[in-house]
Amino acid sequence: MKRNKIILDDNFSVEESGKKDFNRLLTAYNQKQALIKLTKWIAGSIAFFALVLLGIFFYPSSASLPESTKSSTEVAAEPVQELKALEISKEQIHKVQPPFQDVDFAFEKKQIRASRRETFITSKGTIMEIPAGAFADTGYIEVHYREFYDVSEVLAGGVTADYDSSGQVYPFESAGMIEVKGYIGKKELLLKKGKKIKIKLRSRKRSKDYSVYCFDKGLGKWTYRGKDQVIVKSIVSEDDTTGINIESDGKMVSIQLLKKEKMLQSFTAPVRLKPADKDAYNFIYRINPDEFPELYGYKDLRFEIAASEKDMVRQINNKQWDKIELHRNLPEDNYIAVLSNSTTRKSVVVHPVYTGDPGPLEKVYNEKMNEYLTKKKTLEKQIERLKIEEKDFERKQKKQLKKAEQKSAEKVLYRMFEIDQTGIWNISRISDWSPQKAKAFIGTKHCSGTIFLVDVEKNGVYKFEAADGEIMDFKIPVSKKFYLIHIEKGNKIYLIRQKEYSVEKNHTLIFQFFQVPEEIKSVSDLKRMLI
Amino acid sequence: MIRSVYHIDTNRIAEELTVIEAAKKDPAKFSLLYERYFESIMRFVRARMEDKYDAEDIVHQVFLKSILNLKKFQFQGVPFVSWLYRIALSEVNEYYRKSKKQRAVHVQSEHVYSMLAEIDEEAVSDQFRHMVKALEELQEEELQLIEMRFFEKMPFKEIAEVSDITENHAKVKVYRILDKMKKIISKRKKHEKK
Repeated sequence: MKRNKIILDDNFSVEESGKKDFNRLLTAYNQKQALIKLTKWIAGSIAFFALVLLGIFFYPSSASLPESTKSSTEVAAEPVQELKALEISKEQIHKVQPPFQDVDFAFEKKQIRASRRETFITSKGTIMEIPAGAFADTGYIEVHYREFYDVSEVLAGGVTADYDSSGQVYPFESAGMIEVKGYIGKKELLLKKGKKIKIKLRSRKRSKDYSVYCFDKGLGKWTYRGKDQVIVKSIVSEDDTTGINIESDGKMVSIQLLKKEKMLQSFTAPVRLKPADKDAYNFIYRINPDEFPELYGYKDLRFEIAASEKDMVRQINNKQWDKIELHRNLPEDNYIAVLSNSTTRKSVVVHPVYTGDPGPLEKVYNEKMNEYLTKKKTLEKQIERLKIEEKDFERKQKKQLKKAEQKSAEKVLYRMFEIDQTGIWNISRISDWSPQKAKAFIGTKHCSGTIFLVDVEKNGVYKFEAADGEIMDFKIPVSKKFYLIHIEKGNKIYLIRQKEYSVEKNHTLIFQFFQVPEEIKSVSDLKRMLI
Repeated sequence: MIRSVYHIDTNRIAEELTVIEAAKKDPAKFSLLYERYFESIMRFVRARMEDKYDAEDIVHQVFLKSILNLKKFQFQGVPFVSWLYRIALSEVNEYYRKSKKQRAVHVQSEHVYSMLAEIDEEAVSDQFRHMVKALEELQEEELQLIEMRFFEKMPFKEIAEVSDITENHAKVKVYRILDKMKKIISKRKKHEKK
């Protein structure tokens, strides 16, 4: 019984059978998902209405029961906790005042759902994990954050960093700071008691002698909050997974290409048979179609001993042969028959010939030739495509290798800690400075007001107040690169670089400020100036 | 020939698992698996279909079903592609059951010769013809096992995974089918002699 249709030697092409279309698949997926949701919703609604109807039906009977006999599963409702957005009163805050007008260091924003645990990566690579219900409100919360890694960012943000311990003020060296705030509309929110945001701050400082400090808005100073954890990681982005198999896939293409090229080499054009010579000796040999496709399909195929081998005929005829092997002799465009028995082995050149009617033979030849040309063309096309693919893989592999080399060098350092309140958090250590007396002048006038000491090398910004040129409690850093900056209204900057100060006989330092011509309109301007 | 999944190294399987986990959360990540296995699945389906458009539709269904059911996929030592082949096989069967069409199989001469060699039959044109006829007579499940073993050169382990049977059972079944084919061939030869 014929159950199956066998399609013999139809070299279908996968490429022609259908093209990849992932977007089509994704659209179909989304449609299916929407349908599933709708079905679930309808089923849920039906179930709900059924329950409501059952409730209405049974309620009057249960309502008449005495209190004690009512269902034991009934639980007393807890008073709903009123979640109020906690607003921080302005009087309580020691605000961080940016020294420049309109050059504040902007916050980045991220909207999260209060009820969900959210993890996100900031534009600077820091990872923030906010637990569900972290903020004292519900709905959508806008998290505002900004990170400070160099002195220009710290200065622009107005976050000076010195640590007051029992009345003694110490300067800070920072490995990175982050400021986090939560808002609903314009209302600023606090973190709920017991909730902590995990922060992996992308830092460049590896040393373990840094600690975590939080800026206490109430006291207006930094408070020690413990140690952080240093994590070193290699970056592998998710997209990189696409390149992992380039090498193995490329090898597969090369193997396929080799196979196809080999196939093409062994591809033989069909042979047009000649009529048999009546005077010459010929014999029948059943060929393997796989081995001699060029001869397969011809009826009355015989092999005629070549005229040059006439002498062999007698030798062949006189003996009994056990085995005949046929070999293609490509350079001569003929075949060699190897006849053997237990004692002898003879080789003779033969030509494929036919006996009988040439009509059907010609038809077979034409069909075979057409088939051969089509197959050859397909194979050549496949080889061409594989060659392009192979080159493409080589290019991709080189690119991937280059990327991998870059990546291996790229190690990321995170400083991990948890914050239990919004505000500014600093990974810092105390710097060693010596106190000095100092006087500051702008031209011949005494400089009065705030003077910022910007320590580029140690990554710290410190604030001193000068009254009539006298700077109180000035401390000179051991750093190799620092600036003193005084800012006046309209972003007028007065500056003095390291070693541009003089020392009087009584060891008082004299700072002679000069006005900087550059206009500071952004943090980048400030960065350029302080390089 | 289908590239055997058992040639995939453990690193690649591990990497694939990461992609699967990512795709469970975000279907867009499925694109990597789609790109990687589209051709294999298309070849697998196309080899069992006469109409290329039907084959295209089935392949689409295979990937759609796999992405919809991806959350159910649990790694149990079987490479992901085996799971895809299993879905593909069931989709092809479903297609023939519904359409009531005659099952089509693409066969290369070399496959027929390798089967002849397996059952110790001479590789001559008569035997070739009988073997093709024997293939025509095989039942659905028998044909599938022969396709996987001789046409797609799958190892028994993989055949077992795709067919949801044990490896030993797969071997026994394949050799029983070969015996059956041998009997069909000899029966045909006797019939022709008469």
